[in-house]
Amino acid sequence: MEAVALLVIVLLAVWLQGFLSNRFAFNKLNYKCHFSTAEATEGDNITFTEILHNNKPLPLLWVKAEIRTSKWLSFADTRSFIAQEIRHVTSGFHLGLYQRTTRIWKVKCLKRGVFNIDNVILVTSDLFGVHTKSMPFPAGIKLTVLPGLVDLEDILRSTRNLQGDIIVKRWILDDPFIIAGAKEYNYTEPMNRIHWQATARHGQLMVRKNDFTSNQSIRVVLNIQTVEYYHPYTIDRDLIEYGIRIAATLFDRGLKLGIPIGFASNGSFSENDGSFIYTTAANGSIHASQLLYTLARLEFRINTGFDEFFGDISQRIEESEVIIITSYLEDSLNEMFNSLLDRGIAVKIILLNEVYNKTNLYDEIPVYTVKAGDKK
Amino acid sequence: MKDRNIGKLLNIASLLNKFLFLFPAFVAVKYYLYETTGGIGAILLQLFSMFLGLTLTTVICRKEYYFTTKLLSYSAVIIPILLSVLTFSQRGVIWTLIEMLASGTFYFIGVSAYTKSYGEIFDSQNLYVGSFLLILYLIIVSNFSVLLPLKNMVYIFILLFILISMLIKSEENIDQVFMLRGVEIPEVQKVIRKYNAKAIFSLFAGILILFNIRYIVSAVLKFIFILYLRITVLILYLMSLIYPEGSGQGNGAGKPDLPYGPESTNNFLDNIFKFISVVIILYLAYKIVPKVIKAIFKLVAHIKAWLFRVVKVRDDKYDDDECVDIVEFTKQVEVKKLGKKKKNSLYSALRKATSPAEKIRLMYAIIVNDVRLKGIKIADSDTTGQIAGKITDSWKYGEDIREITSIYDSVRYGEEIPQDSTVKFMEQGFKGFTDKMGK
Repeated sequence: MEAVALLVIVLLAVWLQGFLSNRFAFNKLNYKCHFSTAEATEGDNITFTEILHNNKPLPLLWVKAEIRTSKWLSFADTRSFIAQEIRHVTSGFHLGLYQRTTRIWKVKCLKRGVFNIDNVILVTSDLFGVHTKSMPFPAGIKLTVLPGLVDLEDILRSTRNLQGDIIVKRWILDDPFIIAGAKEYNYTEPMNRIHWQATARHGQLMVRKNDFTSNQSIRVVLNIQTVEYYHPYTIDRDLIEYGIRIAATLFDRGLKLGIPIGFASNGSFSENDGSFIYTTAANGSIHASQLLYTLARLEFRINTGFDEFFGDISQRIEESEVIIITSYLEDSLNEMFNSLLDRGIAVKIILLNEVYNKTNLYDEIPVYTVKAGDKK
Repeated sequence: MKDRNIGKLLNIASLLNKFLFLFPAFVAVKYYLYETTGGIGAILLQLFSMFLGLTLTTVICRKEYYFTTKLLSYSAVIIPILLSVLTFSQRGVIWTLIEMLASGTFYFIGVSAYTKSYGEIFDSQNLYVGSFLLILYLIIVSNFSVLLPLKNMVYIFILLFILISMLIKSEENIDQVFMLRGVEIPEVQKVIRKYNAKAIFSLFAGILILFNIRYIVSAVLKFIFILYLRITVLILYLMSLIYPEGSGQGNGAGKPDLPYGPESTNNFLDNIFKFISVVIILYLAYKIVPKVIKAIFKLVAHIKAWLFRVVKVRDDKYDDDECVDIVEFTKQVEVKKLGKKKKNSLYSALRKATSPAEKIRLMYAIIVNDVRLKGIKIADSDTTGQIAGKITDSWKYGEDIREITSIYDSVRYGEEIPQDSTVKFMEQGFKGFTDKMGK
């Protein structure tokens, strides 16, 4: 009789804990998560915060939060595994009654991109795994990792000049309408340039300092096709990632110098299938950040071969200078670049690969190659 | 990667569980034949044989697990068998044979555990077989009077078996859950395992209490009865001091002559004394009982708070290379229970209130009480301004409290008789505040 009683009590206890867990596990359980910032740059260290609140008088022995994110967000190395492009993170919690746990993960942004975490699945069960329950909690968070910048002077090598060229923006005469600041009067400037307020403040004669301007504008063209023949996806992605960083650096330079910059690429956004990218040229920090955001979203999906794409856009180019970032050169492309030069548009080529064909390319078109070893 | 130490501990626990359901069979045979269990020495020897099997295999097969090394491990069974012979040879041939058989069996169990995980050593099949065997032992020892002395031992083995089985199955469940698509990369945090083990021990304690509830209840009743007797004797003793020996009719045996004893014949004095005694006892009960009840409630609240501290995992900051954990306890349970009681009485008073000033004062009291329940610490000495400041500082919906406080101040300290519109305004503010508070 006692044996039966013991058996019944054990079974009852096991059933009861299972029932309580099954019935009330997700009651008054709140989960929230967010990144410390909505926008970061490649290589940045940010944080990812999870807040789990068990607001009921029933402890949860364990709760597993399953997070699916990109493998390019490096965190939870010992508590995650990577399958293809996805990082599966398992975040284990144990919650007493009325307990809130805030977990702050240290995240390193390895590569540019737009990363979403739509749902986080919470899993919990009773002591013996008889009743395992899971529930998706909407997260709806987005992190944009902008491409990092590179040191152009350090990495670019001209095929003509080993010192390399530097993009500068100077004209012979300064623009009397653009004032860069004030400087000391050196007795050569005309009297009408004296800045009286600054003179009063400094106690010595100061003159207005004017900046140099021109109607210069640049279009950066990025070819994400790494081989001459067409393939719907980029083959050497690391090479193009490097090209994207170069493009980002050019945008940054453009912003600093105030040069209007436009961008074009035969790549696409995932949500924008069947088209290519062509932005208008403009300057200003908003435009620059939009261009960087465009680069962050760029996918390695090629909708049009580069020769066809460039043929389409070359007629639309109105900028004074075109910088082409490409992995290869071929005769048909060289012809198109030559025709741009014939139209009075300066052309510069940044070649991501060291093997190239420039037999029919005009000598006036400078070609820069990226130093080996800098591409990773 | 699993923590190696935890893995080893669980392996040992699994082996121990196998031991728990196999060992009583050998003991029962010995007891049937010799009316002795062999004592602790037999248990230790068989446990030693089992763990020797595991240890020797680990040492022999450390580098390669080939046929030859396996054969060598199994052949080493001779060691525990010899040890059994040396230890028990003087007890007779059959005894020695039983011990040899037991040593060999447990040694092989230890050897076979080498390549297995704890879940494989003690799998579901073992659980069913073990449960069946232990119940069978219990039935046998309960029904065969010869084996009846083994009943306690079997009970202890059963309870240990239940505890260890629950622990193993629970840990196995955690390991399975924290494996992702068959990839055992994520490590289960030690704290989760610890918390789980704590829960298992609590569940086991609950089972023990339920199983022994009859004995517990009878022990408690016995204790209460003894306490009652002691108190009665004490009261009688005190009364004997008030009413000393020889002052009454006395029984002549030197015992206190109690005024209300059967021997007492002085009815008038008896009745007066009885009356006074009853009055004193009733007065003492009136004074003491509420205090005793209050003390009991306080004790229960303390026990509850202690239990909450036990189930609370930790209330601190935990930092490792990958993440930082901040754990907070979001509700003060003791405060909540006491405050809830107060809240109910305040609401009932508010419903009954007819005067507008009283209504406003009660609404304010409910708000302050609710805020306390929310965990905001408000001292009795705090002014209304300080209370409003604390609420706005620590609660995002706290801005409404300023207006509510000014109305309350005007009624409470300005002795202003509020207009209907003011009461209405206060009611709206009160409703909005309490609604937000409930979120």
